[in-house]
Amino acid sequence: MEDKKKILLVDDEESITRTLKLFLDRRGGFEVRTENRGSQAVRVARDFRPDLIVLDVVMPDSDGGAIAQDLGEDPELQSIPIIFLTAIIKEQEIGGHGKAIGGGVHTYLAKPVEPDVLISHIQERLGV
Amino acid sequence: MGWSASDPIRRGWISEVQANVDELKGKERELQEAYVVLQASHEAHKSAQLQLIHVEKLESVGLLAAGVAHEVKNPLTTLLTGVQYLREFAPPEDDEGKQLLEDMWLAVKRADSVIKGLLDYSRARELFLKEENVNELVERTLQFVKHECDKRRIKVTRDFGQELPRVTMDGYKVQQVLVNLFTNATHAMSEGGSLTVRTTCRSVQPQAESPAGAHVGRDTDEMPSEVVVEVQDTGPGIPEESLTKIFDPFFTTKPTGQGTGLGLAVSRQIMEMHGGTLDIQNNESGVRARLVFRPVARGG
Repeated sequence: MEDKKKILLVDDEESITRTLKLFLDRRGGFEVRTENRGSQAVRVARDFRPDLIVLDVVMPDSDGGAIAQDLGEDPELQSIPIIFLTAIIKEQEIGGHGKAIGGGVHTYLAKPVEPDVLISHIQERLGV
Repeated sequence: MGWSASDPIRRGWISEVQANVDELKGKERELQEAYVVLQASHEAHKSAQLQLIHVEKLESVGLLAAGVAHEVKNPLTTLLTGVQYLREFAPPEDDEGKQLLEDMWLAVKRADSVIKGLLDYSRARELFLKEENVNELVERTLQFVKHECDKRRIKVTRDFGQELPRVTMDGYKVQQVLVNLFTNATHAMSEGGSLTVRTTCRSVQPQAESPAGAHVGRDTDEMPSEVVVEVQDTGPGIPEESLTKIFDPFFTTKPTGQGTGLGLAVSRQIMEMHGGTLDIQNNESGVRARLVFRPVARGG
């Protein structure tokens, strides 16, 4: 049986990570780990080795840009694609794809993102 | 003793009075001219003051919108994901329950569109300018409402001017304006009708400057041109008492849930940022919206 792709969800809102995890587990068939402290994201990524990270941008203890920068500087983590979820921009402004941060070109989605749209972006980035 | 016009003293007195009257009339004219100048200056001052107040309000709205967006979009994400999960993996068996989930989904989407509208309204000042072919932009935008027009049996007529100069504009934002106008037109023609989009170009006297630096390309070396886009529907028109309010934020004549009331406020603001105008009037056919892209002075 093929291994499940691993997704790390980082968002300070527990209700968001909990509902998205439910959906991604059940519909996407992914193995999902959640983290609500931005400051722990890089440590958890080293431990979990996700195939993709869904990352909130504005968090109280760290921001998504800084986390992406730290991931980009780590040779073992820098190739992990990141999908940013952000509440401060609109999807039309970013067209679903964004600028490079920390050496990688990442995807940006505006909250509230439809779960189907998130899954299709995850699948596209993972090539599944 | 009687009065005689031939009396030299009287004649002298009359001409002196006449001279005084002429002088007074001259002064009155000068006063009137000064009054006109003062009035124009007062109007300009008032308009600048209103503009400043408007900008300050926008800055406040912008800050508020960004804060509200962040605080509201997070819970909306939870709701949207949760509702989708229930619809897919735990659907209610009764019709009322299914309808309830459907209503919740639409409510979340509606709340999101209000937030997006607020962000649009507060961010209309940021323009990313590029030269655009107006006819192509209109055609691309019409595709967004094609389905809606087909559904409502609305005939779309294109009356595009040939060889229009290219217009430097924020194409995405102008598309937003056009989508708003097309959507309003289609909503006004629920029983079918006709949507006519006309583009024209006319030569005008150059103006001093354009606020945002957006400008219309010149079709000749002599005169700059302004490009006009008109959107005409055959709906029932806008009630007279609403005409003065249609550009007010959150004013809408649409049923609850069908409009945020921000579309036209955002649209006018976007046009003003381009140094252009947006006017909407009732006419014998229905409603006519007119966008004008103004030129800038040569060498400006």
